[in-house]
Amino acid sequence: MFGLMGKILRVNLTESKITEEEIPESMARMFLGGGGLATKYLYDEVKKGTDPLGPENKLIFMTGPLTATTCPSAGRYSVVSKSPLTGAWAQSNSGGFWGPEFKRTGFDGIIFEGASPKPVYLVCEEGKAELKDAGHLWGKKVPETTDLIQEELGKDFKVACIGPAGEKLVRIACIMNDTHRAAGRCGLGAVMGSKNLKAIAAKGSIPVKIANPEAFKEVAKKQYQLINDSMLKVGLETHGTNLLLDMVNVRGGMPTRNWQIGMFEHVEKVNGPALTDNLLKDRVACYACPIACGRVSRIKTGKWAGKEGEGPEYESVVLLGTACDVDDLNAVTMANFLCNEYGIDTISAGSIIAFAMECYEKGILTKEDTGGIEIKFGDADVLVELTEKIGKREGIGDLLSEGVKRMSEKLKKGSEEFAMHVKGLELPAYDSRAVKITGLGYAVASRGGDHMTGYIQGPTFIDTPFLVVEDSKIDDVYSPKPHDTKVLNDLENALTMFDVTGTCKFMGLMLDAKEWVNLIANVTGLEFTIEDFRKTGERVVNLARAFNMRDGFSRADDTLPGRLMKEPMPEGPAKGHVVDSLDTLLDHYYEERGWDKASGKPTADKLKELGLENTIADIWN
Amino acid sequence: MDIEIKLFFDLIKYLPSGTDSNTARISVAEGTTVGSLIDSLNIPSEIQKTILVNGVKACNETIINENDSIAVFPPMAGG
Ligand code: SF4
Repeated sequence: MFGLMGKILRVNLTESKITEEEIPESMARMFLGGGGLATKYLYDEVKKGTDPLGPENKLIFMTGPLTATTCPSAGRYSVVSKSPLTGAWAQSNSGGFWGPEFKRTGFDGIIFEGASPKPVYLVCEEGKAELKDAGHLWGKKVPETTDLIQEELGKDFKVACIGPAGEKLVRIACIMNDTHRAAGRCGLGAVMGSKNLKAIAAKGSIPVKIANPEAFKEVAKKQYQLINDSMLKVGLETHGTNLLLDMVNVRGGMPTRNWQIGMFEHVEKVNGPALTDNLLKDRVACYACPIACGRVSRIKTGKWAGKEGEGPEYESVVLLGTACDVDDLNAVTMANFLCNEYGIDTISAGSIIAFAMECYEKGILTKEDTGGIEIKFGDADVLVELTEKIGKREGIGDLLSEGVKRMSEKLKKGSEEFAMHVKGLELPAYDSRAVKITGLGYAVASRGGDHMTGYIQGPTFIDTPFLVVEDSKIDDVYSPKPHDTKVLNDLENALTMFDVTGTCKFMGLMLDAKEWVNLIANVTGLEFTIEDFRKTGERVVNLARAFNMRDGFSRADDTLPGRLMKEPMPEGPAKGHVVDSLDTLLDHYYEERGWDKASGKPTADKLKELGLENTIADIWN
Repeated sequence: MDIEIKLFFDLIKYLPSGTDSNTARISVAEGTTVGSLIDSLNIPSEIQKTILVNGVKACNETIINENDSIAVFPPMAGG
């Protein structure tokens, strides 16, 4: 199949053995690449009951058929594994430049297996790969690690690595690439740390073979232009993703004080314009992207003056900021920088700190537990201090590093009700009481409480239709209809295709499915239709679901934190609302998906229809 | 009756002159609709926009009540 390099690296870290493997053509056709292909390898190779932090777990990096082409935003790669945070299927995705650079070394992906007896890093260069000692890198933060590797190998190497948090098996550790971009969610940095793998450096110039190069170039150029002229670009380029803050706040769905309320009083101190006016130094784009939603920020005043880095993104401002009731944007930015340097997920980190603040407020955590720190809502210094403690797994940070699910199971005293996670993954920055269908999205996402699987927040919270599905209209955000579960289902299938092809989901807002099909057909040379586009996405969603079901997950895990289902929103536009209809929504959604209503498992018929017969015995016997 | 209007991003320029944030309190006649409010602010009708009244999506025909908060956003996508 064109578009793929056609082979992957298999790196056995226990034996320091590297082999090359061809990707079977039939597998490539069914799963294309990226998160899809990686999920297929994971399903086949990681058995039921595997310890996510044990050597039997695998860590799979995979680019897609569009990665490293001229298609707009084609700079992304996926990492797939079993999550130490959720125990479920995990995928994390990142942009920047590492993905395309790696692909040009001549491989579509890497499967890491086993665990190295000592710290190592992998170097991939022009069709070759070798493991090197990483003893001198161990303990170093992300920027230092990246700099040291580039000093050793050359500035033109791109680096993906973990920070100290991944080494210390912090369950929310992420994998960072190009110093500032994160494959953030699900704790895959800890899987990398458990394997004693510090980094992957890549440099390559092998071109991607495109089936119809002329036609492809033309379509890609046209799409680039379309996005370049769009309002989406204007908004995202001017204010970054943080422009969403006002829109979500006005709807009363802004997680504030650990989701106790849905509106933040001092929104103008932390919103998009505040970030642009007070911190923005430069705007940065990922590979081949006209949008440039990335921010280079510099703290100009106060005790952290002079500190520079990238971010914060919308989600980070909300979880590290409003959820902790902190309105000091310098502190939020500093905490965000620390997350990137230690290599932890900003969403989970903010959510954990907000949870700890509420536990402290309620006397569930005391000064004795915290080593003398008064963990109070609104305290900017505490926010920064705790972020660092999580990164180092130090003091109270050791407990916090476990994530809110494990924390609440340990602390008990009713804290389970306000531990804001699904399946162990901390929720992102949209309160479902203000748009109820988003609650279904969190409940059913295979990687846990996640917004990027179906991003139903797009057509609701930010009122932006998705052109990639036939119909993304949601009429009433407070009374979801069966039709809305179909919208979610369609969006999940479609958005999965961005992880599969190696492109950015923001583009999903802009281009319709026809254009994507055109790009995929021209790059791969496959006869690819809209039906194939939707079926491929659906296949991957179902395979991830089957992975979870084989490991003992069930309908009971498709749920929400008690706070969202039982505690009425106290004020604002969503006042009085709870997510009261989850069970009914689940019934409709399962029906739409062809999943069994009692167990939540994909039915044998559905699995057959998608060519996933091999999973039937695993989940039904 | 008094109402609150909040305009976002490049729509800020349509707020009454002298407003120093994105929010203003203004007086309108009873029975004013969202559409006529938008017209009175001189926001061009051809600009697509998202309008929320008290955080809930509204349309041009929605009638405004005393103390309502009207938020208007420019479109985020669609070319
Ligand atoms: S839209 Fe933003 S995140 Fe997506 S590829 Fe472009 S710059 Fe990167």
